[in-house]
Amino acid sequence: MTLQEQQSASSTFDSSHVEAPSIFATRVRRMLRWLGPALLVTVLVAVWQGVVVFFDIPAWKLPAPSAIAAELVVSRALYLKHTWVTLMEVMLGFGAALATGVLLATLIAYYRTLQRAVYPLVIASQTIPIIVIAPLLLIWVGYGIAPKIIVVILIAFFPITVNTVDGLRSVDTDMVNMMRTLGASRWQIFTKVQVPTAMPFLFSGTKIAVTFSVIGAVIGEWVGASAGLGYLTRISVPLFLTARSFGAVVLLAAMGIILFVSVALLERLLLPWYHNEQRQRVLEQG
Amino acid sequence: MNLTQQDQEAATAPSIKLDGITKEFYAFGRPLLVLDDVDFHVSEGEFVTIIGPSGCGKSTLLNIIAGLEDPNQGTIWLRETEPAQRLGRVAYMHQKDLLLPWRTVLDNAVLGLEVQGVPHAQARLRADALMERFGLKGFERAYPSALSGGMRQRAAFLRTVLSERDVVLLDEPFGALDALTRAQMQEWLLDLWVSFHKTIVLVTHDVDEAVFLSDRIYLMTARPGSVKLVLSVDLPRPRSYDIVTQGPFIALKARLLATIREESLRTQEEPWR
Repeated sequence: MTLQEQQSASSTFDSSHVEAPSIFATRVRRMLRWLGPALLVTVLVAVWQGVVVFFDIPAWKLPAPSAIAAELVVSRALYLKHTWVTLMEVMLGFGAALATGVLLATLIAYYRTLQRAVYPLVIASQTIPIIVIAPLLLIWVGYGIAPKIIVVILIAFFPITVNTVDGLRSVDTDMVNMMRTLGASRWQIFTKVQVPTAMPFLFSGTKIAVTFSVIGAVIGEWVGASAGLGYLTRISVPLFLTARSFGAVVLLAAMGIILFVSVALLERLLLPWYHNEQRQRVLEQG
Repeated sequence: MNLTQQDQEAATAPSIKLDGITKEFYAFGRPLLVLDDVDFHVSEGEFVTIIGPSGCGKSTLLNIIAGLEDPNQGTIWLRETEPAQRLGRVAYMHQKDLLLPWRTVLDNAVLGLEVQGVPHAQARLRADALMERFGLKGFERAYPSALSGGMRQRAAFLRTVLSERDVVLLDEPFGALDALTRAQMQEWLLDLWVSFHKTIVLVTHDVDEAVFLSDRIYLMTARPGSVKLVLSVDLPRPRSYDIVTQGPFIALKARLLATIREESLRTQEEPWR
């Protein structure tokens, strides 16, 4: 019953059957879905605050959430400057990783010989610990923003490449044969069937990659930098400015979440058919 | 009977002619004979059904005509020529609708024209003109996931018809539909066939469907598939679903079923579905 209500509410075509109470019920349900996680976070923060106050833990050891919040407000100019630096590294690195990943995946999926030559190298690139490469990059390309961007690329291109290759390959053979009987060329089949099939995969890889990009920028900053949120955490801890370090971590987490959500929203916007289909599947399975 | 059939053939050129088609597949390293010396022909504008048990190679036969596969032996004529490339020459509709889920109904319908390089606006006009006829009016901008099974199948039909080939191959197009929708779709297909002057080759394992729709029926044996019987269906047209309970229809059906039973007794291997 409730499922049917949802289905008719979500369907574009017979919205005339929807009654007012069911819309209200759907809204309440949607609110409850957000309320749960929000409540959990609130409880965790409250417990943290309570423990720090109750056991009188010194701020340099473990600052209370309220102290971190206060630090974020007081040092907002400092945080803004460093957030901007890290955000630039993340965006430039992620953008380059997206371009690299899509290009590599296209070449690997389209040319069989390249697949044998390139794919092993792509995988090998991930077996070398990034922490080993990062200091070497300082020697090779210097101290500026370049080594951070390279670290971000090295970390973020991999999930994009692997997911997109899988997507391009997961194409339905019957669909390809249908295209062939219509007289389609290999390139037409690639652009009209393979690429759209791969899009949800590309977005999955991108969601992972954009989150990893933040980690990549922090690693790059830890190895050697003069600005950025990762740099801020590194220099604050030896100075016992623990709240400042925590503030930077909060901002890094927020950056990661916002980037992830942005990609998810973009996916919904660009692949409406995929979203519809998934919702249909969920409704059918109950 | 035999004479009139010959006359017909003389009057209209064969649209498709297959001669001594043999096809082998390799399964577990062993050759498996799927089609054994199949002769087959369809005249222009004719509605021919291929019927046979599952695994008799009837889908393989369609794949060969469409150009998706090549036979090991035998020749294929399309309109009295022997084309090196058959792909793109005949329209082929699969059992599954194979609509592209990221395209709206309209964009799916124009796929064949798009591949041929027809400008989008022009292709849309041609599709729009047929939406009503295919029961898709008002759903042009809907994604396939929002449609019922019957509508999806009609959308796939529209794509097939719009690819503008004279010959249409249909591989169990109603197999996935419920009985009621199926009966409606069969009548609807006959209607379409009359107004679009296509040559149709239909593959099915449904005896009623074969007799109701066809001019001629090719009955195939179980694997290796070969032609067991060619039956002319001389029921008057246009046909409506009332005829399925009447004498001449039942006589033809009985003849088909008898041959099928005889065949399955002979092989005892693959039960008739």
